Amino acid sequence: MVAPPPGKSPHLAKLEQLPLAEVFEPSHLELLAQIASQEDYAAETTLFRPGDEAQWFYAVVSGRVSLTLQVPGRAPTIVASLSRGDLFGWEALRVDSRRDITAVASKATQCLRCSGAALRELCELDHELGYRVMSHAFDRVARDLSDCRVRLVDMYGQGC
Amino acid sequence: MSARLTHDGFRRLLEQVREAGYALVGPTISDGAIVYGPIAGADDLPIGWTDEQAPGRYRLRERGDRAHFGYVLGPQGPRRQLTPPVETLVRIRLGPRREQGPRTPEGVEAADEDGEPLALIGLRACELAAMAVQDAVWTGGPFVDPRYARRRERALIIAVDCLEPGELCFCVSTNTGPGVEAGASFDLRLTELGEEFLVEVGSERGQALIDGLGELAEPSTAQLFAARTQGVLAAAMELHGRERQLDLDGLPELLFANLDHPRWDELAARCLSCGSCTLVCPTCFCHRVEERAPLDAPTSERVRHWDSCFTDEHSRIHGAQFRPQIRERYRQWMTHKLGAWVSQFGTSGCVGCGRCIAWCPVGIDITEEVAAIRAAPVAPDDAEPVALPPATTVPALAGDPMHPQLARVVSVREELREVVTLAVEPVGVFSHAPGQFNMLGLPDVGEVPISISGQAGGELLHTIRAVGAASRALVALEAGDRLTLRGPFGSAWPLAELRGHNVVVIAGGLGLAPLRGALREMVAHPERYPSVRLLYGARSPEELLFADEILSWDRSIRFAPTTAPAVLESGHVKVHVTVDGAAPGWTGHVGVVTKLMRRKPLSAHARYLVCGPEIMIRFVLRELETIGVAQDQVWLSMERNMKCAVGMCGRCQYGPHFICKDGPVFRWDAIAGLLGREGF
Repeated sequence: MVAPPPGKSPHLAKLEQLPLAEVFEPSHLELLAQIASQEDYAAETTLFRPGDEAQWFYAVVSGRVSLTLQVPGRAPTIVASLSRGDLFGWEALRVDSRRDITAVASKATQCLRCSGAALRELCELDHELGYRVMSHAFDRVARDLSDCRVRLVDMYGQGC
Repeated sequence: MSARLTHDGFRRLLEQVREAGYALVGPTISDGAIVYGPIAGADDLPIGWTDEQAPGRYRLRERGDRAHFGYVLGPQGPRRQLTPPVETLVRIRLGPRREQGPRTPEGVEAADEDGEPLALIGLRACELAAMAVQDAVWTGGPFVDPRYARRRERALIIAVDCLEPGELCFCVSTNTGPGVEAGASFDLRLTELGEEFLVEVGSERGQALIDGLGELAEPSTAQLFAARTQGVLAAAMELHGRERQLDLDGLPELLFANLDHPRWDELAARCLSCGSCTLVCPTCFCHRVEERAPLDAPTSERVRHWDSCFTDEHSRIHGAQFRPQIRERYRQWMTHKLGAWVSQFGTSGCVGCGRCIAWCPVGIDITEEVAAIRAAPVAPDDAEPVALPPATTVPALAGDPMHPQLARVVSVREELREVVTLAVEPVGVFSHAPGQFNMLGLPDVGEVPISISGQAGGELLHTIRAVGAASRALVALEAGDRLTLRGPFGSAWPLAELRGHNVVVIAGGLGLAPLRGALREMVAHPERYPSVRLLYGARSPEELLFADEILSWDRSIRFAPTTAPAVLESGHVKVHVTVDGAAPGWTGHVGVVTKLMRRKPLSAHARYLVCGPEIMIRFVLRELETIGVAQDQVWLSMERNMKCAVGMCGRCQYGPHFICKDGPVFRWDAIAGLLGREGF
């Protein structure tokens, strides 16, 4: 187990207020806060684009981020919106991965972000923390996948 | 009063019935079977013939005597006469053809085809029992079919005891035979004893007929009564001793607890889904209504046809097949007949006549199937129970519930692409509760159920998406046009029960329409509904229904609606909207409505109203379960194919429920065991 470094991270308080704080021990939160940085984005700031190296992993503190897919010959479509507590940029948890979607702050937005490499390293060093990160990530990804499957059927298409 | 009749006396009895103006209907030989149909007199009866029955087998055989009622049962009883297989309900006078738009109605007339009253000759005890079941379906309420009621009321009934039950009979199990009980509904009861009849009178009409026979009606004797008692008892004893029995005890509960029993699969491997069982069953009543529009006539007709729950069309809804497998259709038939019938009509739907066994081409025996499930039930102890519906409390319309009124379209508002709201002015006073629906229709295309999406003065609002022929025609109507309207039908949102509670309304797509009336009521009365939250999902921002109005309810929403909002503003309403996809520039939520639910902390103690696509409802309920909301705090509106809207055609059955009269608004616990289950 990795010991938290001395001194509190300035981001800990923000992290503690997010829903994800419920699944981590205080010592783990402290470790995560140490590798996190706070970012403020003005409305319409692009956070990343398809093809970008997936460097950062984000948690939304306030505001809204929209994920947009661009299909040649068609108007761009927002396929997901992310608000307080939502996590995004999962690609950063994988080694050498790239973005396949555009993330834009659709209004003034504050995020906590950490480097995917740093997070992976932390998980490697502390398997208990790693288990909780992955377990939490799996829970979110599974929900997103379930939501996506519902949307696949175009349920509003007929009748209702 | 009783009498003794010889064959001559009986012949004269029928002549007298005919002279009294009745059309004689009785058993007669036709096409190698004893069929129930028009007869001229006693000579048309199957004198000296009997029928041998076995699973999948029916044969006639000469008896070698002169018995008039020496057979068991023909394939059909008086159902054909009391509910004709094809029957015109109303005639609609057509307006002139127009260059554009559908043909509209100018008048509606009852198809009054009151013929001679029927004299139903030779009905067995099981057939009288079946008729009592049909009475409950068609006249037991809350709606009454006046055509059936009139035929039934006028019919003269001459019943006959059954002393020689057939091989397939099991009426003692269902307590419907073999003797005709003294309290049964008959004018005369005959017991055929050798060359003579014992006649007992059951009504004043029957007494008048016996009186009219004069000396031909001889006094009955104690020996005849003794012979009857002995004959009925012997028949009953024989039936009791047989292996073929139907144990009705706890049967609805047993069947609905075993909806996934492997026996349904075994059955499906044998069943041909031909529907013969439903056509010969004396209590089946499912039908469809078609629009018959002759090219050269000034009127269009709404015509009722017998239908069967085994046909593909019967369970087809908006182009989707809800019971695609044979196992699901047989399960529907049997769980309805032997299960849901009890809660719906106060009686089992089986009278033990055995017709479905004889006329099944592969000889499926309903008693065997029940016994197999009873012998090895598979329901786990903690199986989710399927709630049987309570006796319906829907207020009935006076008069013929199938007779529409002519309503006028006052205005048409285009809501979305291919979605309009018709403001319709009904004739006379019209009272409804939010959540109920009307049947809107046009000649040529028929009727569709449309929920009432609000009321503005005397105008009823109906929000319609053009998806099929009828809805497309309705959407093409213009102000001033007329259409047919029946209603209101179905259950409503429980607004009184919601008072004093925090209410969360979750809607998807056009599912907001049936909720708008309830929302308006809650928005207008903050003193009754302290907090109202609407979570609404749609395909895209362009497809948000009633956008201006719903956004006007929430003071915290900053951007102004594009048109002036209705003056229903209130601080106690919060509106949250999400869409499946949006163009850049949309700053609202994108994602399914369940994601929105996870974002907004929802109370386990609030009351919830849910309406939208069924799949959305299922996911919403799962989410509510996660946060600990009890099933008795949630109401949802089911979208199913309501056709007659009065619980008589059988089309909208959802397990034991008729959505048209038990729903469309259900409390979650009433249908929890069925939601998401395949084949319902």
